[in-house]
Amino acid sequence: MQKKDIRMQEPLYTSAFFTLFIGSILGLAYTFRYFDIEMQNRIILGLEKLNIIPFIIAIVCVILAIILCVIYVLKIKKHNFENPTKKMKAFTAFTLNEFNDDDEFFNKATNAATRIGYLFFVNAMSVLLVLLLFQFPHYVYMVIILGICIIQNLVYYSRMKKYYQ
Amino acid sequence: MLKNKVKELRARHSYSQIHLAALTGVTRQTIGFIEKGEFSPSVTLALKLSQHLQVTVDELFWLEEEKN
Repeated sequence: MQKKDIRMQEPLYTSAFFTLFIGSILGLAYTFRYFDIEMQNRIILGLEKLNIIPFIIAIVCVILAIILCVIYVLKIKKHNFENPTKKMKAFTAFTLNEFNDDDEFFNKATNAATRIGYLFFVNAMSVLLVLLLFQFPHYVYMVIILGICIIQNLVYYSRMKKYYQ
Repeated sequence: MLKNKVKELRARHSYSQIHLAALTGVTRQTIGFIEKGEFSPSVTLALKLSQHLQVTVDELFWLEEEKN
């Protein structure tokens, strides 16, 4: 098992993907101005183009996210080629690729790291619940949720990193 | 606190961590963390280690009281 094990790097890929997602959300949020138009007693959502630079940033983030996905899939294919008995799926909802159950030590390490990630998530959700009381634009909540996911992945990564040495 | 002489006996047998890990069916990291005393192995793994290092389990692992 190498330090460059894809299972160790998985949270970094996830964090990078979410960061690019945040970039595209903020880019689009600052590209357009949303407002209501009242027509025959009906409210219609209006959209006004404002800035080109945030739009370019959003597009660049989307392109980088696609490139990142391609690199990730290629890494998974490489891992599966080198480890035919421990194949991984690039996109799966039922398990996480970063979980390592190779032996009792890594099983325990994964449990310890997951526990810390879970504790962070529970506390972050409580803070988010309080923030929901305020009237922020929708994209702010999307960014906060993605930010929580990024930190949770980095917490898990920082914990697991020392076990792979 | 669980103490052990895995490192000492491994050196006596001229085994590398990777070799001993392969013999016992675990990863190199597991052997490393056992040697450092940062991971307490299961009874099964302790028996496998003692078998490959040709000693009894209580010769390989012992408890030492922690000083406060």
